[in-house]
Amino acid sequence: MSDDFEDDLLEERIKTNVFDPVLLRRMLRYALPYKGRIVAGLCLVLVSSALAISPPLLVGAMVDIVFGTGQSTPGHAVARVLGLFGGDVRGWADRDKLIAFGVLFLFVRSGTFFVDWANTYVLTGFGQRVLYDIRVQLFTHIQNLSLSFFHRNPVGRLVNRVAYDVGALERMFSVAVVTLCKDAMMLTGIVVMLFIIDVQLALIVLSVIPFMVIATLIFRKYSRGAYRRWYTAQSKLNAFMAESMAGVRVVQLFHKQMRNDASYESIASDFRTHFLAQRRAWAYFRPVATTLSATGIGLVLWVCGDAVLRGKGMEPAEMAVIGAISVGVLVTYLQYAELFFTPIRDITEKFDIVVGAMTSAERIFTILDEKQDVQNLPGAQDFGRATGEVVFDDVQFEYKADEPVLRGVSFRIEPGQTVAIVGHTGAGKTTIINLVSRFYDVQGGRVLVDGRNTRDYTLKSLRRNIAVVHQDVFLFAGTVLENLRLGDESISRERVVEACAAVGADRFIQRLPGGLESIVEEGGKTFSAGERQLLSFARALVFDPAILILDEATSSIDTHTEEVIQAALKKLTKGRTSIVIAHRLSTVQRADRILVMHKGKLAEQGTHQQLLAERGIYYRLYQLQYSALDDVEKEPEIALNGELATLPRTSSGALRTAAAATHGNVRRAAEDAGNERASGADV
Amino acid sequence: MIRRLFHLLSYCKPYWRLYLAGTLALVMVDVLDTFTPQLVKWTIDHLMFATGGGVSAGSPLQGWLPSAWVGDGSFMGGMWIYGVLYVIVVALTGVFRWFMSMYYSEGAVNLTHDLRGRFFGHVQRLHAGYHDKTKTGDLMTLATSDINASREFFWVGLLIGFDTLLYFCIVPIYMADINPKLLLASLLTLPLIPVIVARLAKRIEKRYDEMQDQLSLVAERARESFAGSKVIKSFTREDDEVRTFARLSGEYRRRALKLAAIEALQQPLLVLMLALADLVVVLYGGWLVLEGFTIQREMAAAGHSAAEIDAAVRSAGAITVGGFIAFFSYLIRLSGPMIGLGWVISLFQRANVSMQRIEEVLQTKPQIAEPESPAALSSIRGEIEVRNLRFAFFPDGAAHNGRGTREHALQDISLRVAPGKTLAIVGPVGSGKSTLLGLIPRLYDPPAGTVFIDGVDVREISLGVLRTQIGSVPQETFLFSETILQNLALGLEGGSQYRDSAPESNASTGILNVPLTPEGVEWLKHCARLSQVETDILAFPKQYETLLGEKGVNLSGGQKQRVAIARAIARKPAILLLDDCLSAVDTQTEEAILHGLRDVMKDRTTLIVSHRVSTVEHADEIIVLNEGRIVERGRHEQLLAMHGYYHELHRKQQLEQELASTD
Repeated sequence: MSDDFEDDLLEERIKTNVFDPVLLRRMLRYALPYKGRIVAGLCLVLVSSALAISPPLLVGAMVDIVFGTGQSTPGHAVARVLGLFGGDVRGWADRDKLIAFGVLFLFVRSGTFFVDWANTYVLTGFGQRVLYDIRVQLFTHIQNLSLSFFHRNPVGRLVNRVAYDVGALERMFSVAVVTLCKDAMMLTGIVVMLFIIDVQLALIVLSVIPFMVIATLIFRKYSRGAYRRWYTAQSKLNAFMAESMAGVRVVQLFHKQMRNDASYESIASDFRTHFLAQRRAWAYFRPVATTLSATGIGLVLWVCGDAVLRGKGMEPAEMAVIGAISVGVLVTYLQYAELFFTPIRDITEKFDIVVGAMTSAERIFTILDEKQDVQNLPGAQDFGRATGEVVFDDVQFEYKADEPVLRGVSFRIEPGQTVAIVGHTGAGKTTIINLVSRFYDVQGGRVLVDGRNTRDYTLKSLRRNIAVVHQDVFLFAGTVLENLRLGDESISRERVVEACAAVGADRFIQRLPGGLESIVEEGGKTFSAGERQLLSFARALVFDPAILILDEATSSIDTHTEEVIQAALKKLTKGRTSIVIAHRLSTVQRADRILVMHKGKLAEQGTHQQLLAERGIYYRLYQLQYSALDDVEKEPEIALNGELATLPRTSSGALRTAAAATHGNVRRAAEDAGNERASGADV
Repeated sequence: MIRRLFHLLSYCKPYWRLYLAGTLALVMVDVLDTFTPQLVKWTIDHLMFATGGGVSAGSPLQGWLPSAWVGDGSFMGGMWIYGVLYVIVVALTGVFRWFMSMYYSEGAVNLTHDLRGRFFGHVQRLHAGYHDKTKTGDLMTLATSDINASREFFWVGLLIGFDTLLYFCIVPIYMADINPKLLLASLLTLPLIPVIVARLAKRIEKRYDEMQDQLSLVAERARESFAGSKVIKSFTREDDEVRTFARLSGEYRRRALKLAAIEALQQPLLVLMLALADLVVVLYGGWLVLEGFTIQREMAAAGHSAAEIDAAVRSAGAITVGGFIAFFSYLIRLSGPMIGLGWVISLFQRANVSMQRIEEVLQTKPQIAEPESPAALSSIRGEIEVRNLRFAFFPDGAAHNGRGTREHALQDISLRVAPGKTLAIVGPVGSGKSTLLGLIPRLYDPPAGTVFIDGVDVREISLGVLRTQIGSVPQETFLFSETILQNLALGLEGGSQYRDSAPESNASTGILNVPLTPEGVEWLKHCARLSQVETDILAFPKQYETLLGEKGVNLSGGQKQRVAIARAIARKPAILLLDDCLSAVDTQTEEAILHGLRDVMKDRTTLIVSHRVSTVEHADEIIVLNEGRIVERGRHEQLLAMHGYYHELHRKQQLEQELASTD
């Protein structure tokens, strides 16, 4: 729920400033490339509005012309149109007049049909293109942000931004913008028509508008307060329920269910009160609004009615002098008055969608404004192909201020050498391998590859020389093949097959129903730990890096797989610089050199035998980690779900510091230890 | 479908007064609203009559009201009465609309308030095993969006449903009054509307689903990319990812446009349907008007009276200009509800699905329930006995927890802890330590006749008594987003001298909000002192009033654990269960806490799970669990002598300490 809480806060902040001009301008910038579409859309909106306001004119004209109730502006206008087809329409036979109007109606309505359809389609198309641009830009931006950004932001939150916040913008574009444009144009069109027909009457009928505006403003003011109180009450209720459900065990252990029922009653009643208050605001507004618009119609009936009566038996010329009108004009006015007040109500409703979209826009821009911590420096060069020498020169590093992780670490790894890093949890092993790929920038000292400072080269050209095999193998949704070449189509299938064979992954891949084309299911959970490890080896081999970085998996595997993996490892490290965070004894023993990290410093280095002989830190680590392993990795026995599970685990028991964090149990761990001794003996 | 509809409607029963009042108001609204075109008709007929072009005897008002008011213009002109009547009718409509809207929304809100409360209360009481396999997020979705979906139905859905029904009853009466044949002719096309709406809705839904599926793919791809960002960066595959994502988003855009292509049809298509009805009215209705004109001209020429003419016009089925105009208004009033009908159906379907989900949870029985006839036990001395316990998370719980094939989480466990004594439990992960602890307060239910407190089977003890007498510090520390003091006060029980007996005022501030007496506050502070967390608390600016959680301070793991310990001892429990609750605390603090606890727990029974020898070495008995069985047991020295797991643990921790002290 944590993400929602954060969003709530953001939301409340934003409510205060809905039409941030900076935000609007920024959003408009995305619309600019589609000027053509916008113009086309607006033209269609124009036509559509024109069509939407013609039926009242037609009905009025029909009454005047067909039923002979007098002459009027609408009547003249329509008569002129019909006149194109054969003289004065007034002279036509009744039947022809009827048919003519029938055709006109059909024409206007079907015109509306096509234009409205095209209009919505064009504007939606425009909206979708803008959204596509925003979405891809956002994704690209996030994709290129540094690792530390991903540590700060849970994946779920980022996905929400890319998928659903962009979706909220979509509603704004497709619903709000389209209808708001049309509503505004229709209103203008109606006002213009009213004035064209009769200025005096128009003024009288429209005299209710100021009252409408005042009522709307009062309503908005009142309702916004009510809405905010309702919203806050809702957040409170949701937060309360989420907490109670997440902490349900504590609630039960302390037997507080009844108390919680009471709390619910009180919090939810609060919510109900505010909900109804917010509804009440609407309930008051609507009758006021309809009564006001009815006043407009009432005025038409009265004033226009009187104007009709005044013109009784007069000739058109005389009627105009005393301001008399025909029945047709009254009908037109009546229908306009009815038509006029619908868009006003619509606009008020659409407003909320725009508000929601603004919130999402703000969230999206917040991410787009996020700067990369690790960037290509100006003038960064292409690294080219590395030979694989790695040097740490007095490297200082901290993730958080005043909590140094590396405190002046220096070492040199020859090209082609295999180096194992060992040490306590928190000794800085992972940090070292992260720094080689420049996932972070050092605060002091230098990291050199081939004698060149990694900061002076482009990130991509540097990383292309390095392959990292992570402890927990991440498999993407897709086929095995896709997972091995990671979307790089320039890598041939043959090379992948070769790599699989080299690391011994071919055997189980062949057993899969689709071979390399099999779909990886459930994030690869259907593969055993050993198989996943082999896949990650194959992946690294496919990319043929100069430097291999390997964070050895800690999960326990059977003897046979262990042998396969060790053989694969030998193939993998051959001929390239390898840096391994070692968890297996056999790996340590095979290494050309061992770096022993202790409290952010390089404490000891040498070969396995040398270090054992020293009887220093390595000796003790060795005893802790590689002898009589037991299982001390803490895992909550009561599986927790949802939010709770994502909380950082209560940190280590003392024993956890031992890197022998295997997921098995005493017996299995003991077997492992035996295996390692056995395989270690081979080397 | 119909049965489900009635089933849902049965939820309204307790609120029938509100719904009835709302429906009565709705009837008034519809009756008044359908009357307004009639007023327009009268106005026009009056004008036609007065200007001499009319067909009929004018409007009925001319017969009913003094002629000074209607028509002869001697009072405020001739037509004011129509305008005023119109405004009055609409204003009255507004008044009833207010009642309708308030009654309906109140009914629906009360309904969902109670439903949500039932749901919430029920979920609170569901056994831990249920919560193990149910995500909090899913439950929250039920409590929020699904409840909202049902609120929409019980409010807007029912309202529009009745509204539609009424319009279908009332409007045709007025239209038939104008001319029944015209009614039939114009309605010929209207029934097509629901058919087309339904047809279109089906296709729209299909394309909408396709679009949503694609959106899921987009979201899924984003999730994958972000979750695997380390791999992607390591292998510099960012550009490929962007390309793939752009492709998926492009497909989404394509599908969204495909949807828009037919969704954009919906509204215009209705207009088109109306156009056909309009055509009928213009041609046939216009002809009927003209026919009336002919009759009138002929009869007027023959010197008939107005009343006679009116009767003749009517019997010939001709209509007036007012009727002609009113007919358009009525058509619009009929088409609205036709659209509404489709909407009601979709609201109902959504609510139906949501309610089914909610009911499914409500029908889940809490597996751990209050005993039917609880043992007469009001307080507990604290003797714990476990006899030949075998325990399994069956059947679904086991599968979910990944305990998979392992049948029994605990096997052949027998032990006895005398009141006031301490039992320590050590063992590797998954050996069943926490499970064993969870059985005592019946977080999980032990088989009958296996776990006893004071010689009584825990299943026979009232849950209230059992859980108020046990102070529990679970492995995962959960604190509420409240003040520290209120979190501590969770341990207090109602009726104790520490809690203010004044009614719990304004509980809207949150989950806890316990009113405390001064002694209560003192006691809680004392507990915080004992668990060595007071110094940390006092370091915060607001001290005990510091707000925890998202909107407040985030405590460190060790601080959280210590607050949880203080919370547990605040209950003065007869039994204290500590599940590896000192793991994030350093050794020295641990020492201090254990020392403090020793005083408090002198007369209380303690079960403590730990990975640290230093935590358990002073226990009266230590057991080592492995794969659900007790493999070693005894006091510290005895276990050391066994040279088994415990011995190894001890040796490693000594090494640890040595290593930690090396620089």
